[in-house]
Amino acid sequence: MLNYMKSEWYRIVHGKELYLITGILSAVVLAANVILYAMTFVEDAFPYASVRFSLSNLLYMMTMLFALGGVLVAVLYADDRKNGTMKNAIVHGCSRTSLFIGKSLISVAAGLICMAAVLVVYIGSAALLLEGPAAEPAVELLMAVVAALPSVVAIVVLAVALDGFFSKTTTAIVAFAVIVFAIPQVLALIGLRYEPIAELASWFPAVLFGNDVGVWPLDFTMPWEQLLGWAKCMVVGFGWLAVFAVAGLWRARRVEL
Amino acid sequence: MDTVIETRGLTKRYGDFAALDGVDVSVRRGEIFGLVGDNGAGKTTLFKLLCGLAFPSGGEMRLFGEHAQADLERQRSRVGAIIEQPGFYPNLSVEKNIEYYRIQKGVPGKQVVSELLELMRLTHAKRRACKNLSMGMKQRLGLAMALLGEPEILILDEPITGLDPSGIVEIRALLQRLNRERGITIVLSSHNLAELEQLATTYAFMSHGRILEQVSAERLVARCADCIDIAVSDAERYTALFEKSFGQTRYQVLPDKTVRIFDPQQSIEAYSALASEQGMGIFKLERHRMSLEQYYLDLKERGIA
Repeated sequence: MLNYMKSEWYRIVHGKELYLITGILSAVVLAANVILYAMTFVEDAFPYASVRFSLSNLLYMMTMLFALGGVLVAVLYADDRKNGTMKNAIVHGCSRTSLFIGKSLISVAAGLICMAAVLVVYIGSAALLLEGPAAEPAVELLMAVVAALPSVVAIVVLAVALDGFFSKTTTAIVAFAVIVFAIPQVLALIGLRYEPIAELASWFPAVLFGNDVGVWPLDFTMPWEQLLGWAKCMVVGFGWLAVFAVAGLWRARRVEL
Repeated sequence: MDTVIETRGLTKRYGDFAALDGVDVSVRRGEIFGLVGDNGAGKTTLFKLLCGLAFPSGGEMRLFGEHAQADLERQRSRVGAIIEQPGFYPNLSVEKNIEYYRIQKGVPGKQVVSELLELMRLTHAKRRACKNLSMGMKQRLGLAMALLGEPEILILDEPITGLDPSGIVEIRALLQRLNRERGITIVLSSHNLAELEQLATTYAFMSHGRILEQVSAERLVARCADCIDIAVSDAERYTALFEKSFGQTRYQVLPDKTVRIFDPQQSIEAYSALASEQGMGIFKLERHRMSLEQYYLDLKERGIA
């Protein structure tokens, strides 16, 4: 497995995909802060050119991290089956278990590096260009990222499992969107009428880090700010990680190429 | 020679359809083993099972004498293969693709990459993205990857498909060299039987998921060498006659009533004399060598094991 992981790391380092995603995301967050900064020249009393406002954009869209986790895996392992590279790995003596675990670990590592780089650009550019104290909102954002991290890892593992299961990357992306976003949202909608369903929906990452987060400046509620909420974030994250890892391993062992 | 690949009653089912139905083959070290069969005969399925890409529904397979699942996985590191088409990352360069697989296989020494590029005459294209390679170059790259780690067996599924004539000659020469100089056992399938005829030292003929026959090239040449076609006025009486007179049992009556006598026991004159003595008219009499295609078709028709 170590050799497989080393080879994957070599490929990612020598390929363009990770750099491309990191570059694009960094450019987007930098552009967002530059636009906020530029608005102060247009309107003296522009109220949103603050670090807190800029960083709250991600804070209230934590589910974006889930989508980006899926995109990252899709880009890194696009058409792995179609290209015959997965076949080669098995022919070379890698077990299916090693492939699944190796891909999951490498994807998580690549994702963390990408996220760290983008966050540096995001928080750094906000601190440099925008008004107000940077430390407090930065810590709030980082706390939220840490709370969501187990769920992000779980979703990356799900994306790897789906990518190995479906021969076409596009099919895997559709399945990913259905499992991560569509099903929880449907449950949340039904939950508006039936309380037990709402409770069930709240144990899905997309609902916990999406619907259940209050919208600034109307509502400051964030689940991870309370001890119980933090614990729920961890249980949801690690729970789904276990579910996706077991399901992915079970399925990976049976996949025929 | 020891047996490096052996299957016993190997079966692969997809629902009710048996892609492989009780396949028995044995490949000995140093052979060039040609697998002959139509599309859907089960050649690729057999290769997939041997390489661990699919799981058998029944039967047993051994690689280097080992048959337990964990042992098979370990022994597969001694096998190089191209199944269906060479697999590589299209956006990575030729050199980086080989380096990627060198790391994956745990082959020590980066110089291996340049040696393989040299061997496959791909040095000039080492920085080219794989998606921009010609079909012949892709096949050579696939072979380079398969050769990483000095495998003892190469399993190649249709290695000359899509190649131009010079590419075919090149791959053939290369495979012969690898077999001769490095002692690599080669198992390959091909639709191009004439091409296979120039390479294989042993053949297995497959049809509908079953092995019809496994035969050495020497034996096959002997079988194909002698074949007499004789068209007489009464084919039925004639076959009964030579069965009785010459003990000839290997023959086939073709649709146009020509009697094809395989591995004839007598001279061509004796067969014609037998017909003449019984007052039968002879419309055609010729001795020829059967092509591999014809042998396969005959075998399929007879369905013998």
